[in-house]
Amino acid sequence: MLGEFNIARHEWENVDKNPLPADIPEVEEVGATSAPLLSAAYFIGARCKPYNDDFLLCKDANNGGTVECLKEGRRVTRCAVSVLSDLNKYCFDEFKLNYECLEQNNHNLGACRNSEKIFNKCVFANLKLTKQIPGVKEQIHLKENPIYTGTSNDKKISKEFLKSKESQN
Amino acid sequence: MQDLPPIGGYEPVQWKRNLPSRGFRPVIYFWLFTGIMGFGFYRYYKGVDEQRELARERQWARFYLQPLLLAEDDRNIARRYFSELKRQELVKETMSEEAKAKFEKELYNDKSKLRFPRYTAGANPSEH
Amino acid sequence: MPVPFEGLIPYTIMGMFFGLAGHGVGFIRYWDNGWKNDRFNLDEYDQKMMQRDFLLTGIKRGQTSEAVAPEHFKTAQTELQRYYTPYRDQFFSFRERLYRGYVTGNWEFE
Repeated sequence: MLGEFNIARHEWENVDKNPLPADIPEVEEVGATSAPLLSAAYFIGARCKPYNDDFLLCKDANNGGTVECLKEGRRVTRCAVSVLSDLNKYCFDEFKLNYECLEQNNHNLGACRNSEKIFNKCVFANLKLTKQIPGVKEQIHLKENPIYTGTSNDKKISKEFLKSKESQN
Repeated sequence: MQDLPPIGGYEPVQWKRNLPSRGFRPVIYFWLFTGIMGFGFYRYYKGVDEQRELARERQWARFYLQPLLLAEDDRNIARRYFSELKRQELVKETMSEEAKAKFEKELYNDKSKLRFPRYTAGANPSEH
Repeated sequence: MPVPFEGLIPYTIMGMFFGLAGHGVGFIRYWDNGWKNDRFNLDEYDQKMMQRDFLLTGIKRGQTSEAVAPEHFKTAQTELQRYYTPYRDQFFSFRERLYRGYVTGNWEFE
């Protein structure tokens, strides 16, 4: 119906399937989607800070540096992949618990505190990485009696998770 | 003849009004509701503070993810850029000399930085 | 003040139908999202990430914690482009577009 008015509009998808030239080294891309990435963001930030800073400084120095900073970019990606594969290796269940909660709750970090606590504990025990929000003294994820306490479903599922973990041991 | 009172006497007459209780003193209500409102405002502004911290938390999570997403994007842009250069080489092969000269003409005089092609100076197909 | 229950029957019926409509749509959306709640208040970052999720998993609202992306993801990116012309398909055919060297821009004739 609206096509009559949009007669002048042409749309198409610009697709390009050519890979990078062979002289640029291959790198494995990060395969995690948005919810796992959000869940793991602080741990990626904690471990990969030098690489991230290096990459961004390179981009800053090279006017965007899309072509110039490919090497630094590969380092960033490899580091993120290493964090994610470690999380999958040591804390798979806790990771899954947390990112599925995020996915159900509009990626709202405040809604998933209970599962996040379990996840953070596991990550600290295995990878020695901590979540630290820069610039503030009071860390919101460690607050004792928050107003936004998380959804009841998250509390329930977290409790069940802990119980099943206990019964396994 | 005269009416006499009924046997057992008359029903008692209600001389006092049946008013409901007036409750507490007004001052007590004033402080009660002020207290409830005050508590509500206190919780509300606590919640506002917490919302700000939640927003900060999300922002920092995104900042930490930004480099890896940028790196991914950069590889894509570079891939398209090199692929475009290759495509231009292929197009040039079929061109006449004049058309090729036109095609190879630089769009920008400023060579200080790399510019990604949005459109290339393509020759009109009718010209060759 | 007792109200005879007959007076409330129409309101009960109306309420039931409103409830049916609302919960029905809600359920369909929940199912359509792959048994997940709706996303809302999305900003541009979220939109882009959801697009990326789709390229990675191939399903709407799909999530995966795989560390390494599948091979096809490296060349999966697409760009939606558009141009406006009153001459439909007369001067800018697809072949011409390719020939003229369309890279990432949109034609503007203004």
